[in-house]
Amino acid sequence: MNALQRLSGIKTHLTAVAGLGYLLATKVFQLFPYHPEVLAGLGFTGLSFLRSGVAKHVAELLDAASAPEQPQPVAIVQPKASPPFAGLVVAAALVISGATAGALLSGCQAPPQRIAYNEASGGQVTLDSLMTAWGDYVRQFHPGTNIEYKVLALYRKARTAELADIDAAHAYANAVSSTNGVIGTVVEAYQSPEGQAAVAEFRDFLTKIGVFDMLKRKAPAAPAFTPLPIQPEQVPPLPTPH
Amino acid sequence: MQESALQLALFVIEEGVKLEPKIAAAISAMFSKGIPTAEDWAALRASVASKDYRDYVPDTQLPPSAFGG
Repeated sequence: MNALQRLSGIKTHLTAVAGLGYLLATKVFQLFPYHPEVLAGLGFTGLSFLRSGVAKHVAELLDAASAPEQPQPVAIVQPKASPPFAGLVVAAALVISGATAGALLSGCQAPPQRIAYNEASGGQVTLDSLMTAWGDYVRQFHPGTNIEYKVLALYRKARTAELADIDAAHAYANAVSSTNGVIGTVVEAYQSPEGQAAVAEFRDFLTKIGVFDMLKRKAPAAPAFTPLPIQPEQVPPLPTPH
Repeated sequence: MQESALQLALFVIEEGVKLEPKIAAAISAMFSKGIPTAEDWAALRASVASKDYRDYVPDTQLPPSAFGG
């Protein structure tokens, strides 16, 4: 089994094939109407399966690295080439599905700040979007220095974790390109639960003090639907009972 | 692209989607040009490290001493 298959697994491939099949059936053969939500769902499912495969692969590497009585080189780089079709199917389906999902999630004409705190208060949490939302909140509500000091500390903690993730990714890249690298140590460092925890802690704090609620209340609302008035002469008269 | 590079790119992008999509995009862009050099990684690190609280919060009420100034 090559590295790509070990990472993605049969379920990822099936999801990718299903996505391409759906595209062919709707766009090429036009068997039934096209719904982008279906493709987005398949994309997220494929990413989820891929993530499980990665976790399993990392666990195998860590097990191999922590077995002292059987020292053996960690064969992360397989000499044989992966089947190009499998790689193309997975890559194409995930890219298409990811792009569709991104378009669905980003909103069509929402202003940038609204996108930022919609992401921060909803699905995709990034340090950048959290800080953009916080900057908008400070500009509008002036929360005071005590609370700003708290956010500054959380921001620094999350940014430090981000830098550690970049360093670990760099070290991991070096280890992969060198057969003598200490893979286990590097992978262990790269997993970095601290990075996720720091961002989650930051988001929870902003949620707790009501930043996202306040911003949503102040955001320009979409124009409400106003029904046309019904003129009395347009209403047909009720039939008179006999 | 070598299989090891593809494997690494998939791993980093998947993790990056969870952690920080912008950093994942930057790493992905680096890999699109080939295996990143030490200078590429240093530039990415510097771009993240150079960001400051005041870049996001220009209306901050914190004194300069809060930022080591």
